[in-house]
Amino acid sequence: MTYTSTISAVKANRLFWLGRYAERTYLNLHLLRKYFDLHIDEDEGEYDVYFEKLGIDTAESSESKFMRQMYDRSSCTSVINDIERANDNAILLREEIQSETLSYIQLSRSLIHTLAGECNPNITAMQPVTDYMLAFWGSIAERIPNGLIRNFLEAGRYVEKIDMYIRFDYPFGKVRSVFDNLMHCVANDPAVFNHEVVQKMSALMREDLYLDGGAHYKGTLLCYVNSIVVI
Amino acid sequence: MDALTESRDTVNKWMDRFGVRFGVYKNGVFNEQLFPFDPIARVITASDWEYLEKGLIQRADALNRFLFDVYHDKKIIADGVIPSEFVYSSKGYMPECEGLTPAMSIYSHISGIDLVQAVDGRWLVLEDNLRIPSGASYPMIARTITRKVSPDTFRRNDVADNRDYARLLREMMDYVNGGRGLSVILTPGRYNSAFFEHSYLAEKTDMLLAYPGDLTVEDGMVYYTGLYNTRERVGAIYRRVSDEYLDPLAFEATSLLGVPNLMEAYRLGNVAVVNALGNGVADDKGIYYFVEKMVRYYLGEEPILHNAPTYLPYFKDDFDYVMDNLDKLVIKDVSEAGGYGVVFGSSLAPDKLEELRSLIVEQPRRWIVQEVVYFRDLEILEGDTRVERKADLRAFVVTGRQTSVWKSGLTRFSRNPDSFIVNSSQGGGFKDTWVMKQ
Repeated sequence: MTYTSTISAVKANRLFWLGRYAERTYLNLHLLRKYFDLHIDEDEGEYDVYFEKLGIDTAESSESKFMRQMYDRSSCTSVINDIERANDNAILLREEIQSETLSYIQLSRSLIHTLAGECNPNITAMQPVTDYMLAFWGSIAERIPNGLIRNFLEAGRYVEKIDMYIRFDYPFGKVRSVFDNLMHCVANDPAVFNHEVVQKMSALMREDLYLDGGAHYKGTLLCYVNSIVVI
Repeated sequence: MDALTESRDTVNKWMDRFGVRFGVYKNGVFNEQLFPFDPIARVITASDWEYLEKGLIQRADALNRFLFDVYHDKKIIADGVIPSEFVYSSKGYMPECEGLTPAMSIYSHISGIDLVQAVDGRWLVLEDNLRIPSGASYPMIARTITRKVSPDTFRRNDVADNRDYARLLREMMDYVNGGRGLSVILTPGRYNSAFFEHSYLAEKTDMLLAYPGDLTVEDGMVYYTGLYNTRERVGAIYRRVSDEYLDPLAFEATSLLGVPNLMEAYRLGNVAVVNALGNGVADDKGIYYFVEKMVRYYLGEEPILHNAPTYLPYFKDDFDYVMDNLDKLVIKDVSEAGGYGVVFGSSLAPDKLEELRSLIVEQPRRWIVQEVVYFRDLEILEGDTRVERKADLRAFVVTGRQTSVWKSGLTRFSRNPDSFIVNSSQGGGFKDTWVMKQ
């Protein structure tokens, strides 16, 4: 009986993007809930920040914007699109991530499709998706012994976190700690990272620069984080 | 079983949770859908199973002997048991396989034998599937789920465990691999109707799931290309790609699903291919007529399992009978599969029946004709009502070091009360198959 821990480059790429889209589903939903809360009793300018940061036209009514952001499959920033893209990758990785791990993506997808079918405006109804995403990451930690596979998933997760944290002006400490996690992934499997980009990004990861940094600084960081992996 | 039937919705939710789907192309558009599961299991008694098991092993062994013979000495043709034109005009016959001996001389490693139980209780073989029989994954996962959902059902009923299919498959793969390298499952990809099965079997057997492009052939050896272009030798391929698409340099040149030069590695004996190439000649609907004769010829035994009563218009006596009784018979086009090309004479308008009669006269080799077999209907749940529907059983026979029958099978049923067609691609559902221990 011959076993191997090898995976193809295509699977590595899918693992990375599964990690990104699973994390984007989680974070997008988290942020959507946060800004939906502001929308209850704050000025439009407060909650429109969410849409502006994702480059969404803010001219629509707030109800329409929130509904589209939840259920519009044609929108590349919607939660339903995030879970579809996560599923596109996960369904091709069953044998690597195990059916139990895949099931959390499937559960999320089924729930979001049901809610979309009902045009359910209650964002709280999507709370189980947050729970499933957390269970998804728990299942990866628990069920996948192959460190190579976990590393690709986690690299995708951290790249996505950094991207979203920068876009939404998270405190430097949070961005830095995720960056440090990403550097562990680099140390585990250096060959799939662009070392020039790693060095440039490391040089920019300073609190003073982050606090003073304007659009150009953030744009540069976003550019680096999105080109750091070279699978 | 009542507790289980009450849990039908829960079972289906679990199926959804695990992504148990199959793909269907309709009007050129690919859709994935759930394979409708019915919770009322088909029950096979221990004594029926003992009989079936013996008959299925006998049949699979005879078919394997036939395949070896037909690509080597052709004694069965020379001895006049099967007319040569039935072999050489078969779409499944591959001259490229002449004289080629697959690993361990096994051709049909996984035989999917479709049976029905007639109203009088007899089991009859409807067809043999020796190329890429699919469907084992559905009862595998269904049993896992139903045991979770209704443990009492299995506590109270003495049902043989069917969760060892992955072990049977893995042991067979290791046997034919012979330690040459990795064992992989080769899938055409996500848009194949059985992709769920490919990925689920890869997971459960701990084999690599390889896509076209992952495998290359160099100096007659097959390699799996890993990350950073590392290469590992492959010793056995459970291919889920049809013969004609398996090697673009040997067969269909436009195929993007195959592995260039795989045939060369296979011919050199450097890789086992499961099931072997060229098996289509033995599961041709025309050859089906001769399987009982094969059992007598190769094994010197009387066949335990019998075919549904079948006529070949190629033979004069059969032709005359078919012409006299066409409106009462089932006519099957030997080149079709998946429930297509099956016509019930009784359902045809007179002009269409005459059209078909002319086709049979013109091309008698193209058709087999069978008596209508009145299946023993099985109960299914339609809404909350129990109704009876036509159903068949696909038994899986695995041939490695020895031939064994998986103690389960795929029971497919028609959801249409007027239909005999149970294929999933035509709207059929499935149920678990319980083989009782006692």
